[in-house]
Amino acid sequence: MKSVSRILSLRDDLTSLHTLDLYNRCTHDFDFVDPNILKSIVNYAVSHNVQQVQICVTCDIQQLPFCLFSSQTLTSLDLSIHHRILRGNVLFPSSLNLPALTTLSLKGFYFRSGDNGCAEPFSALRKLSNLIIRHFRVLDAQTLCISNTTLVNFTMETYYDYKDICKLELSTPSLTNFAFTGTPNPILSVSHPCSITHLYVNAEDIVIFVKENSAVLLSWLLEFANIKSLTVSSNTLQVLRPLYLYTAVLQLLAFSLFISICLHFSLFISIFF
Amino acid sequence: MESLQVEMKPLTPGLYMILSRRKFKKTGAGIRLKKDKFIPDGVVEFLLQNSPLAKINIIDNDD
Repeated sequence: MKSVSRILSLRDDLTSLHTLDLYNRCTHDFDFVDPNILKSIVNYAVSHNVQQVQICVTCDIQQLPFCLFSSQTLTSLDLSIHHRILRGNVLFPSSLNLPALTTLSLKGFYFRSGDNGCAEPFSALRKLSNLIIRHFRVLDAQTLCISNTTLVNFTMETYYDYKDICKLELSTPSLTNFAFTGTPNPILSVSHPCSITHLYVNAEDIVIFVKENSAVLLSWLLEFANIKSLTVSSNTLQVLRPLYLYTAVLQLLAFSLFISICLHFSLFISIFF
Repeated sequence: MESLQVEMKPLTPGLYMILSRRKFKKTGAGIRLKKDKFIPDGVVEFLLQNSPLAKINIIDNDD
């Protein structure tokens, strides 16, 4: 703590800080940061008009200093906080005041639900263009609502372990690119007319619910029926295979029924006419 | 739809388990499925049934 304070005190206090990059490429065992040190670094950066923040550390912190979420100068925020014992236990504030923020990337956060019973954490970001959320959970709600008028690119990564989210609502009139990686189990609801032109789906962590995932994926494709470009992984096609087989059987049954009706009809005609 | 890209990825452990079990049930023998990347038959055509003119691009980063 003393060494951090010394480094910060040696810096010219009148000069703005453009970028804070707190990142350790070592494994999680070696990138632990004391919560008080993290708080002091964040406070220092925000008080010196920081514009870009990237923090990727292990830290037993429950909540980052709120000043980080009320910075008037911040344009890019990338937070990936791991906990030594639990996963994703850092609370994301329910109210944000980041008027300049265009890019937000979050990994390992809890989103809180609002009065309407769903979590809607990004609606106050007036300039947000790019959003990435990974390994998140929602507290006291089963619906995550991405409601934002300026959002263009949205990337989401969530796995079976984090399946407490049952429904994902997209109320994003400017969204053109949606990328999903993980277990496709949340029911998707998109406000129409849908602006999304490119969809990316990389199904991973498929264990036993492949038929359910297959049905959910079909509902997604129906929601995005007017997309121009679709990118899928070969594993996503594996998940869709039961659905393809099911429709193929249905088509075969329908064809058999049609032939049967034709035969009965021709028999009927030959007997009575 | 104007284009469909397929990213070739190795089977995930879960899918590998499911497909191995399915193969075992089908053949009755303990044939082990190779841990490989492959596109299941018919699914691409199923996705493009309403877009017959769509361009198909297979992306394999190992190539």
